Amino acid sequence: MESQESQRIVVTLVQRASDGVDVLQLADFVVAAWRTIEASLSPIIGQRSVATLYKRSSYLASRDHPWLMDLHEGMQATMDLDVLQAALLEQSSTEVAAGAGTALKMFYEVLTNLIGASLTERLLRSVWADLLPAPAQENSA
Amino acid sequence: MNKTVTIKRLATGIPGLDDVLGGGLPEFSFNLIAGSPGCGKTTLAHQMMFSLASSQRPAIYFTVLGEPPLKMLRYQQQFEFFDDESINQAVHFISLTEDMMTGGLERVLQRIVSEVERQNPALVFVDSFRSVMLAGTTEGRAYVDLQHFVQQLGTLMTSWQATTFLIGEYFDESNANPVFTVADGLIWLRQSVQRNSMVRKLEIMKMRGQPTLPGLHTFRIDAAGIRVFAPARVSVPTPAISAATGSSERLRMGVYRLDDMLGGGLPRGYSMLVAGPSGSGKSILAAAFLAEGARCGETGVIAAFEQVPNRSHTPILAELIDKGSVALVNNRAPDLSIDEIMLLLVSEIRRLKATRVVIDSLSGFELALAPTFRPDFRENLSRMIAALAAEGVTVLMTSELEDRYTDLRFSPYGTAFMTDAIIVQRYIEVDSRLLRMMAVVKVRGSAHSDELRLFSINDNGIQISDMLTDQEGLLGGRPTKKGANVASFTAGNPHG
Repeated sequence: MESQESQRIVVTLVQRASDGVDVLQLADFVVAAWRTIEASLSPIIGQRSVATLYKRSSYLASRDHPWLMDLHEGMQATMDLDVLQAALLEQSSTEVAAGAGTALKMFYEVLTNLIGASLTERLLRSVWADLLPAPAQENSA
Repeated sequence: MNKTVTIKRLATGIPGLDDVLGGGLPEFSFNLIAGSPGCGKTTLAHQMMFSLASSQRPAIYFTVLGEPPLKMLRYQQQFEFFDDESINQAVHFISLTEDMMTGGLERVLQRIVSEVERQNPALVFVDSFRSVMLAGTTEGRAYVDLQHFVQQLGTLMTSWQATTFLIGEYFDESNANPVFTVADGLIWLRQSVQRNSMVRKLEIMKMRGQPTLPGLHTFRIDAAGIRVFAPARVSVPTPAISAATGSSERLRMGVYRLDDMLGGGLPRGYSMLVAGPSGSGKSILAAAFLAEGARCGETGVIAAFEQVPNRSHTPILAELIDKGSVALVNNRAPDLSIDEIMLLLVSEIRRLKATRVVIDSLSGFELALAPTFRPDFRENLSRMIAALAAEGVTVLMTSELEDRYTDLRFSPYGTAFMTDAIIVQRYIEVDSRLLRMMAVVKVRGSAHSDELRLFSINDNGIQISDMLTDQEGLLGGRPTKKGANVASFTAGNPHG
C-alpha cells in the first residue's frame, strides 16, 4: 500500500543526504515532519493515538533499522521527539535518511491501512504541503 | 407582522427521519441521541452531520472517551454519506480524550466552549455522553456535575446558535435523568431481537415545539446509511385523485364475465380481496387484472410475497414487468416491516403513475414480515389499505383460504371488512372431479351478481362458465343434484 506521498518523503530525505546535507539538518527535518504530523492529527484522533501510531511505525521500520526501537520504552502518551532527535544525531546521514524515511513512510501506510488512502491523504495534506517541495504538475490537477 | 419566532427546521438528510420528527430538526435545538451499544447512534450522528454541514455552516464532532476516533473514522467511512473532502473544511473532528482524562467535565466543557467560540460551528456533536456520565460518577458528584455540565452546555450552545447533539449510551429511560429535562429533543434508538430476526427501531421521545410521529419507527442501516421507514399516512387526496375516486368509473378485470358479475367492473379506487384455497387461481386473476390495466394503457405495481412472477408460471405478468408497465416489489429482508413495503409501493406507484396495485398474497406478506411485526399485522394492514386508497389506486389483494366446508370464511385475518369488494374461490366435488367455483360476495355500494359460477383455468387464463343450476349445497364442497336427496331417501326406504 505504498503511496506517492509516503515514497516522496523517503526520496526527499535520501536526496538531501546524497546532496551532502548534514545529520543535524536532516534530523531537524525529520523532527519537524513528526511535529507537523502530531499537530495535524492529535486534535482529531488524540495525542495517545498518534503516539501509538508513531511507535508502531518505528517498530515496522526497525526490522532494517533496529536503532528506531530503542526510542520507545513502555506506553507513551505523547511522542518524545527530543529522544528521537538525540538518536538521529548518533546516526550517519545515510542511515537517518533511510531509517527515519522508512518510519515516516510506515506511519503513512499504517494510517492508510486503518482509515483508507483518501482520508489519510486528506488529513495529512497540509503536512506534505509544509514539508515537501511543490507537487509535480500531474498531481496538482 | 408576526411577532412570534419562526423556528427553522433543518432537513436531516436521513430518509424518513424528517417525517418522524414532524418536519425536520429545529435549528439551535439541544438534542440527545440515546440507545444501547451498536444501535446506530454514531452512524445517525455522522449521517446528519455530513448532510447538514457546509463550509458556511460547519460542524464540530467532539469525541470524548467512547469509541476511539481512529476506529470511528475507519468504520464510518464505509458509509456512502462519509465525505473525505469535507473533513477539516465543513466537518471538524476534535478529540477531547486528553482533556477528560486530565481535567474531567470542567476541562471538557471549557475546551468545547473555546473550540465553539473559535470555529463558530452551526452544528456540534459530543460523542459519547456515557463517558461523560461515567467520569462524573468517579468524582462522586455524578448528577450534580452532570446536570451542571449539560445545563451549561445547552445554554451555551443555544446562545451560540449551534444545533447540538449529545450521543449517549445506556441511559435508563425509566429513570428520570436530569439530562432529559434539559434536552429539547430526545431520539432513542433500539434493537428488538425476536427469534433470528433483529429489527432496529427509533422513537422520538421528545422534540419541543413540533408534532412528531409517536411510537416506534423501524429503520435500517445499509451501505447508504440509515433509512427510517416512517409510517404510511393518509394524505389529503389531490384534486385529480378525488376526481378519479369520486367517479363512477369502473375498471375491467381482464376476465370474461367477471366484470358483469361485479356489476360492470371494479369501481376505481376500490380495494378487492380475492380469497381462495391454494391453487384456485388467485394469482392468475391478479395477473389478469394487471394485464387488463396495461392493455388499457394503465401501469401497475405488484408486491409478490409468494412466487416471483416468471415466464413459466405467469408469462403475461413477467412480460409486463420486463416492459416496465408493472413494477415488482419483492423484498425479503429479515427485518421487513409493513411501513417499508408501503414506502416501496408508494414510491413505485408515484414513479410509474400506477393506477392498479396487487398484493399477492396477504398470507405470504405476513410470513415475510419480521416476527416482531406479525402480532400487529391486521392493524397495520388496515392503515396500509387506507394509505393506498389515498394514493388513488385500485388494489387487489389475494388471500389464502383454508378450505373449510363447515363455515364460510374469506380471510384468516379478518381483513374482509377492510376491503370494498370480495371474490371468493372454492373447490367443489362433482361427479368425482375437483371443479372450481367463484362468486362475488361483496361490492360496496353497488349491485353485483349473487351467482356461484364454475370456472376453469387454461392457457388463456380464467374462463368463467355458467352456474350449476342443477346442483345445490355447493358451499359445502360436495353438492348434490337437486331432488337427489329425496330420491335416494325414497330409494333407501322401501317401507316409506
